[in-house]
Amino acid sequence: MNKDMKILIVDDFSTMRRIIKNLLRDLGFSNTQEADDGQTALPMLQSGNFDFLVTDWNMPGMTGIDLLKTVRADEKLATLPVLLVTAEQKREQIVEAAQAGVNGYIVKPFTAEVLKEKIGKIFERVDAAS
Amino acid sequence: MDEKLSEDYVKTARSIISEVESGNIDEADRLIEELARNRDQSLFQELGKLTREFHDALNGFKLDAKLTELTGTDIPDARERLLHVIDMTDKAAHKTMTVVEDLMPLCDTLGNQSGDIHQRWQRFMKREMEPQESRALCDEVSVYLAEQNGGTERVRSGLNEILMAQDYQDITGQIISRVITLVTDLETSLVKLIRDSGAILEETGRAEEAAGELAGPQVPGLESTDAVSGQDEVDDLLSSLGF
Repeated sequence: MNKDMKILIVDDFSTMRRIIKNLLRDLGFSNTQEADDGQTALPMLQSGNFDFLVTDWNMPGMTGIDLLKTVRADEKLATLPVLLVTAEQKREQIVEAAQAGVNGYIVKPFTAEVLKEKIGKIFERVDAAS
Repeated sequence: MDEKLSEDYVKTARSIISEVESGNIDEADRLIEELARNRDQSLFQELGKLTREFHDALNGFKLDAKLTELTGTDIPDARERLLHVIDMTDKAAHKTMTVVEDLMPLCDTLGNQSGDIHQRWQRFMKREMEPQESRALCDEVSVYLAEQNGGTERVRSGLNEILMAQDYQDITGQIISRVITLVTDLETSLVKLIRDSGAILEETGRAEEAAGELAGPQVPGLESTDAVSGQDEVDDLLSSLGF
């Protein structure tokens, strides 16, 4: 796993973005940028060479699940690893995210340990596949 | 139409037929006019009743000043109050994180310094150090202790700031309690209004969640049966899907 990888954090609450940014930095990932919803995130992703997307689900403008679907449908972004960090915990939503091609799903509130474990797993698979 | 009226209708209608059959057209005309008058009268009675009900309902609206107050003043107030809650919690969270972000590098620096000095100190204790190096170490220890002292002071004041940033809980708790009271009042007034206006209040139970609408965070006591109860269940569900 490359610690210098470029990560985009998408959440409509600035406090949550800041928490995730701090946790990621604690795990050694300091190359992060932020967006406050899918609409802002998408052009950043399309032009920014990001290696990893961490996004909330419920946001105004474009939701996280729509962002995920758009990313998967975009030729250039289709293989971008995506981690959903969300308060949505209904089974049908988790299934929907899985079907849309999410790489990891964390429910809020979460711990630093869970974030570390999920990121580890995602890149274990990504590294094994490449 | 009431029973007496329909009985009258039947009776008059029969009389009309028998008068016509007997050739008394004048009498039949008179009876038809009577029939029409009866019908108009009942129509006016119905209209009168409706007008009275309408008037009562209007008065009911006027009398329900509580509802006017709730919708005119209290609801907009509640909106402002809740926005203030979001604002306060947001500020408290950022204040706390600013202190943490500020102190984290300080802890790193102090930790690295003490780790480094500890290592060399052990060599010094085992007499593995040249006199020149040990003199340098003594100078460094002196500087480090001073820095440690100042650093601890900064950590201490930072922790105090974090402690004080939690004062939002008291205020927001009070504001939210007031809004809960308001919602309860509003509910009571609305139920009364519905009852007064004559609508049938049916036990419909909780409305179904609209399809495609996000449920948001689960609240203790109001959990959806379709929701998982934590990260472990999310992981189980995903692994059952082949993750």
